[in-house]
Amino acid sequence: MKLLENLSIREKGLWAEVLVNALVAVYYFPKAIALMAQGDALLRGREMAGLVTSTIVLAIVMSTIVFGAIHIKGEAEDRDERDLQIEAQGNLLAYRVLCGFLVLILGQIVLWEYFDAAGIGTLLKEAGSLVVGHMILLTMMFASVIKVAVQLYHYRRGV
Amino acid sequence: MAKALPIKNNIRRLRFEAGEMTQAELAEKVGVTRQTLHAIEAAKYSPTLELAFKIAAVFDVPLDEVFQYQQEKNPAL
Repeated sequence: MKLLENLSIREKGLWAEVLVNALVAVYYFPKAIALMAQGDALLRGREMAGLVTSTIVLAIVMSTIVFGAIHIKGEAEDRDERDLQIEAQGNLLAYRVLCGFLVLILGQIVLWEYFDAAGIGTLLKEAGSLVVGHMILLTMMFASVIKVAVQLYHYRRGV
Repeated sequence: MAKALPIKNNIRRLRFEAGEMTQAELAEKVGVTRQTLHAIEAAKYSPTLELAFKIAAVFDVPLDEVFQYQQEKNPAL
């Protein structure tokens, strides 16, 4: 509890973001993987839509509870110039990570088309477009984690 | 370890001379969080020019009495 008292409202908010993202990932990905493992997940559109809907509802409920708990205990804090600078540093690195992984995924798709024309199967082609979608989703979540981690690092370092 | 910034300041002394003004009080006067003011005072964060002028205005002193730029050994800088 003492550790929590040492954190600023902004740091608590960032940790809350990590917590909500982790809970949503733990809820969503095992179910999504199980669904995809059953075969062509596109044919199970209803189940997938149900999973996505329940995940969105869970994320909203979790965010309301966690961020509500933070703001009941502490007053809201406006962002000042240092907060904006630290956020910009997080955004910059997260953007680079996001672009890097997206280029890799796009490269795979290009290879997929190239090898498909030559009659050779590729990893992504076998996996299907839904897996590609989930790779993009994972990339976005990873970039989000990077953004928060950079901010927490700068706040802890005292910059 | 974080690299020390070349800008030093006298905020701690000026707060003391202003009747032991707290970091929170000064932070509120200049419109930033206490954490930001703490980082400036510890020379871990360089404020914008606007914020630097605001801090100097609170103590009613010129800017160079609050902040000093410590030139590095390389004279070109």
